[in-house]
Amino acid sequence: MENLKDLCEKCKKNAAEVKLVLYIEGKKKIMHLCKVCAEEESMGVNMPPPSPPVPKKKPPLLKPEEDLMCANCGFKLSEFLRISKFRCEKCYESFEPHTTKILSQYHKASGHKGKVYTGVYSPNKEFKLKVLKRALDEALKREEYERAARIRDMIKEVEKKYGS
Amino acid sequence: MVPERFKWMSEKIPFWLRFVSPLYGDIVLSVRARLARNIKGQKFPLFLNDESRMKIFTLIHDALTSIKELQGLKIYDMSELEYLERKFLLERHLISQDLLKDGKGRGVGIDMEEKISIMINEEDHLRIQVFYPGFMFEEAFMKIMEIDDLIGSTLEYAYHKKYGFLTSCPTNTGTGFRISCLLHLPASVITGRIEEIINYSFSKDLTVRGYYGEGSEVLGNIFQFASLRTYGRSEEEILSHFKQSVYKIMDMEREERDKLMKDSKELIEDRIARSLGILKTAKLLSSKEVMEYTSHLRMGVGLNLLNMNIEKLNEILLLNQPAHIQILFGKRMEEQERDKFRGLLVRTRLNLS
Ligand SMILES: [Zn+2]
Ligand SMILES: [Zn+2]
Repeated sequence: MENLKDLCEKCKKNAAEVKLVLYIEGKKKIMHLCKVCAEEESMGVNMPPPSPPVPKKKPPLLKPEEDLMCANCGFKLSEFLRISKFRCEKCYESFEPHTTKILSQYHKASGHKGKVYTGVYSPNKEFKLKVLKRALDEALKREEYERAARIRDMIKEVEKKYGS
Repeated sequence: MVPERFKWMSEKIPFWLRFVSPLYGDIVLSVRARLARNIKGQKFPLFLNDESRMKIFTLIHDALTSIKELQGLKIYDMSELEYLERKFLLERHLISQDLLKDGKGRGVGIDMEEKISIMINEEDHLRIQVFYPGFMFEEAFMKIMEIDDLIGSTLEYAYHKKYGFLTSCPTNTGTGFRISCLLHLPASVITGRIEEIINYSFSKDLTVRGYYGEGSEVLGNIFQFASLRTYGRSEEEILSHFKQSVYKIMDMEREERDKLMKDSKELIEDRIARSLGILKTAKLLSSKEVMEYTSHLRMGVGLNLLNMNIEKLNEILLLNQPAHIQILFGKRMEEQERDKFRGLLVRTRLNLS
C-alpha cells in the first residue's frame, strides 16, 4: 500500500503539503502543515513579540501556612507561582521575597534601571541628545552617511524644540 | 457584504513599509518598539470582568483623546469590529492575537500613518507600539519615549522605585521595553548559516521567531528578532545592545550574499528571473508562493541584479494576505478564490511600473 499522506499537524484535517522549520521563543520546531495553516502560521512572524514564558521550573512546594496572600486583591502566592502572572500591582510586594528572586533569576539582574517615573511631563532633552549622539558616532564609524545625516537632523530638531 | 470601515486603510501603504535606503532596506524590513504600562490602582486586565474592563477602556480612551499631540489617533473598540476586520488589523501588525479574540473593553488606537498602535487591555492596560521602516531605530526610540511621557503625565502609571514599571507578567517588569525588527535573510537560509545566526541571537539574549521551509521550500525568509530582558538595564542599554546584534547579523547575511555571488551567480540570477516571470504571469497564487518569490526579488534588488522598487514588494507582501484581499476587493472569499484574486493583484501591481 502506498504511504498515506500525513495530515496537517495543526488542523488535523487537510493533507500536509508544507514543511516548515520554525523558531519560537528559542526552540526549533519542524511542522508539517496544510497550505491554509502554513499561511496562518507564517503570519506569526509579524506578531508583536509576546511576553516570553517564564521558564518552567517546579514551583517550590509551599506548605499551606507558607502561602501568602495579596491584601489588596486576594491573589495567592501559590496561584502566582503556577501561572506566573501578577493580579495587581500590590502583588509584587506581597509576594516577597519570591518576587525579587523570580525577577533576578529571569532577567539576570537586580533592581530597576532606566526611566524613572514621576508622573510629571519632562522633555528629557539631555537623555535624547545622549542617545542620538551615540547613534551618530556609530553611524559614522560604519560609514553610513545617509543614516548619519538623518540622525543629525534629529539632533537639530531636539535642540530647536527644547531650546539649547 | 464586506464592511467598508477599513477600505481607506487597505488602499494605502503604512509608513513602516516605506523604503529607507539601499544600505539596509533589503535586509531590515521594519523596526518596532513596545512599552508595557498599567494604570495605578487597577487590577491587571487578565483578571478583570467585562464591566471593569470597559470602565478602564473609557478611562484610557478619554485620556488619549485629551492629549493634543495624539489628536490623530482613531480608537477602535474590538467588540464593535467583525472578525474579518480584526484579522485585517492583525495582518497590519496593529493588534495582537489576543485582541483578535472578541472582548468587551479591549481596543486599539491607531494614527493615520500607522506609526503608532496603542493596544488597550491586552495583557497590560496599555501596550504602546511604534513602527518604523528600515534601520530607523533612533526614530522609533524617540517616538515611543515621547508618547510614553505624554500618556504618563495624563494617566497615573503603576510604578515602584525598586521594580520599575509594574506589569502583569514578570518577564516585562522594569522598563516594559522591547525592541524588535524584521530581517530578511535569504542567503543565510540558502547556505545554512541561519543556524549560526540563531545560536548567536540566543547567546545575545534575543528571541527569534521565524519560518522557512527545508530544502526547496522557502517561506519568505523573514525572521523577527526581539530583545528579551526588560529589568535591570536601561532602555538605551537595551536598544544599543540590540542594535549591535542586528549589525552583526546583517554582516553575516552580507557575507553569505557575497559568497553566493561568487560561487553561484547564475543560479541566483535564474531564481530571480523565474520568480519575476511567475509573479508577472500566474493566474493563481498562494500566499506561500508570493512570499517565496518576492523574497528572491528582494534579494535581487539587494545584489544589484534587479532594478525594482522595494516599496512595491513591501506593498505586495502586505496586500496579499487573506483579510486584505477580501477587504480590498470587497468580497468574502474562500482560499481558492483568494488565490485567483491574489494572482490578479500581484500581476497588476508588478506590470504597472
Ligand atoms: Zn491545516
Ligand atoms: Zn494583588
